[in-house]
Amino acid sequence: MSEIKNINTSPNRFKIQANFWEIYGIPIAFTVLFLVFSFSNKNFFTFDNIMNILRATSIIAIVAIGTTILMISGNIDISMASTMAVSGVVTIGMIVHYNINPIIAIVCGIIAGGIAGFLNSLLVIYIKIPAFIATLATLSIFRGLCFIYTKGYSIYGDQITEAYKFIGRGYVFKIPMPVIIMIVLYVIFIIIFKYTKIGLYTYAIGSNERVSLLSGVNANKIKMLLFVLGGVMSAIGGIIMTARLGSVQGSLADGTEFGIITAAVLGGVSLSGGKGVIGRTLLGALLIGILNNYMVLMNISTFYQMVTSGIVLLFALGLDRLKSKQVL
Amino acid sequence: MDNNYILEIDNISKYFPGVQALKNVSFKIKKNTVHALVGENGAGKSTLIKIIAGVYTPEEGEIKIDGNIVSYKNPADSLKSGISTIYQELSVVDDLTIAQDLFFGEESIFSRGGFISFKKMNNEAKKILDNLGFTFNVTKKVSSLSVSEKQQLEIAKAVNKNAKIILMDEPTSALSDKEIENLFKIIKKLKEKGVSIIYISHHLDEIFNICDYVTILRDGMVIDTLEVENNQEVKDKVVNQMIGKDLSKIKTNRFKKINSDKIVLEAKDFSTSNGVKNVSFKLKYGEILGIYGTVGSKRTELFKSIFTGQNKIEGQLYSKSKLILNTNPEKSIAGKLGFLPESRKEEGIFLGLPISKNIPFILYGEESKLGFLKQKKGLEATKKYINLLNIKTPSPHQIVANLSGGNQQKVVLAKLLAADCDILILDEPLVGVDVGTKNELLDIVNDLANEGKSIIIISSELPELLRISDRILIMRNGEIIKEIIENFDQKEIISYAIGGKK
Ligand SMILES: Nc1ncnc2c1ncn2[C@@H]1O[C@H](COP(=O)(O)OP(=O)(O)OP(=O)(O)O)[C@@H](O)[C@H]1O
Ligand SMILES: [Mg+2]
Repeated sequence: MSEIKNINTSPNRFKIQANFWEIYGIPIAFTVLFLVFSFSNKNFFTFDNIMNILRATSIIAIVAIGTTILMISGNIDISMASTMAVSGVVTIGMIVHYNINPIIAIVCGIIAGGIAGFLNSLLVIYIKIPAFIATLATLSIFRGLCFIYTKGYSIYGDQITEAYKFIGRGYVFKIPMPVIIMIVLYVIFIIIFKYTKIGLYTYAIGSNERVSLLSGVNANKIKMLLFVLGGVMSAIGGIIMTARLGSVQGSLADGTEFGIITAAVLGGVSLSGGKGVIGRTLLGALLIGILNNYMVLMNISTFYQMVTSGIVLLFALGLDRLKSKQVL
Repeated sequence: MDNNYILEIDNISKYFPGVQALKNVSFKIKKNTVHALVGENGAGKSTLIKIIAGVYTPEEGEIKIDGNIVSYKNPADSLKSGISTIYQELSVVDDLTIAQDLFFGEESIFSRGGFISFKKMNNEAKKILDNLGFTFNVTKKVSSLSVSEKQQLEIAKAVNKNAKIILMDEPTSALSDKEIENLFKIIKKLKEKGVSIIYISHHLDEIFNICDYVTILRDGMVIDTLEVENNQEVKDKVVNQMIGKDLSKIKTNRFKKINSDKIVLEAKDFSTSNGVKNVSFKLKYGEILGIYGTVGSKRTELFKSIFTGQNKIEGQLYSKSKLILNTNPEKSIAGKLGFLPESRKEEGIFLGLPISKNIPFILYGEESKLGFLKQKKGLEATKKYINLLNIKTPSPHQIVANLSGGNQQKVVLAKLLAADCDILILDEPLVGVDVGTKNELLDIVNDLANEGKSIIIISSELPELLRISDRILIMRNGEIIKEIIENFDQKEIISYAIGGKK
């Protein structure tokens, strides 16, 4: 009798576990790693190093906002690193080659990102190409355009003023400028997605697009908006990156897709849509941030860093699988 | 050991986070009987079925079959040992053809040298379905079937497994009288062959028609197991034990209560590409217009097209005497026309979102200022309808997927009722809702009409339809063939609907 009871209860325990890890898994992992790192390396938990981590994380964290909201709606955009480059090239190109006022150039760079997102949305919504495939294609197209324009060289020059570079390098009250931008954007998006129709509709579309249509939601309009916002987030990330470097190359941000998607998935966004919280994406990004920082402090080579990043992504996806395990 | 009982349920308990779904449930099922399981929405009926079928494992208790303790780890185990199940949530596969779905998992019978002979499969499927009294084109995709046809396919699938026990969880929820009769014929034949059946339904008349025993569940506990006798006393007893009190008396017939001339919705020669032919009707201010018809009468197709604007090929539609040209759900809702879809899960509800996001969903769309949601108002509406419709949940923030089937239906209804629509089209609002709530719901609809809302109710439940409607339109083969304005005989209405009367 008691034996049968034992066997019988185990699946239920597993379910409670899945639920537990879904909510507390990443915060616990973050806390544990943070404590271990702090105690094992005295250079880790210092004000300067924490600001270092935040600054290094901020660009990924900003772009990951766009990835998160798209994934909540059941879509994805993997062209974000290329979009970052497009915006960076447009902005720096205008400043250096055409002597245009940096503020106008930045606005144009952001618009360029929005247009890139808009193009993605057209492919997904009207030509009905699955988002992953469509943005895989534009990933290559956008990147190629950047190389064509830059002819493979860096663009830089005196026209890039200190004021422009301040966006990427400056500090306000000892806090790096990119971190401040990141915090402001997170606050805005957390509010929008918690308290407004856009947020509700994004979750609704990710949960069941047909139901949202029949409930009076113009789903295409919302999806288009999300792609455009995704492009704009990439643009902001790209521009900050150029300000930090003081120049731009066709290969700007190449390869950052990886960290961005990992941050979103670590944050609890489900690959099947309808789930996820923006604030947690920040936590996901910070988790990657402290990992990378610690490996640098410990002089671990970038090759090992790559392996670790891959393992972290697999771990995050594993959590996602656990979550979506649904009983009949 | 000689055993009178095919299935014994002994002290079963099942717990979900925040909900004790079953508490020490015990009862026995005699060989070769049809045993009914009744109870309010959320009483634990489906949970018990799923435990027997091996979908869930209980925390406590045992299941015995032919006197032997069994412990299934998954539905495949139970199927192998001769238990087949019709789940409340249909489990047909949209992408397959009807024949493929019927033989899903058994394709190997038609395989020759690794290749499946679809011709053989189709012929066999046709033979089986004909035998059961279903008329399907077996090469059609499952996705093209209506909810009711899918349910019939589900029945055929379960019956075709040659099981010795069949578990039927609300098999008639999407069927109309004609198909229910057919199911009863099938059940009688199965009984002759020695099959035992557990039968769940919210329609007591079905239970008194076809079942031998009835077990009443309330709040996860067995209240009683009775032998079914078709008399009023037993019926009242069952209802009383189910809801824990006597059924509230319903308000009287509405028939012809409306004398208004104000037309709020009018269709003229309305035709669709999926079978609606030249339909014209008028809906008056404050009126409840009932729509009756059998499966295939295209009731759903007509009203879905009116709401969504899809599939319309001809005709005019007027709302408050304004001609509506190209409509879509967004415009319809903006014009205060609301629609309760028949297939709730696919079209009515966000299963992955909490109740508190589902119920006020349309309300939020209508009322948010600068895009900001009026969350206080939304939560108030959520709580109001949880109370009013008796939605069983541990919290207003429970994810809808965790509710029982009937309670999910109630959330869909609440979502529409909470939106402030002037015209409501309700496609089968009573499906899956327990007896107690059914009366509540009819009262709510009645009150809405008295407040000046205009309501169209499509329902296969004729007694309820007769009680609530001011006027009834009967549809057959995509046409409105009769308008009933006097209190007609039930039999007569049915004979119009199935084509006995012209
Ligand atoms: N997966 C689940 N997670 C949490 N709670 C659940 C789950 N499945 C069922 N429940 C709860 O268990 C209770 C019993 O549900 P069940 O589906 O058995 O009811 P039912 O009698 O079949 O009702 P209905 O007539 O509405 O189909 C309900 O309160 C329901 O909310
Ligand atoms: Mg049920």
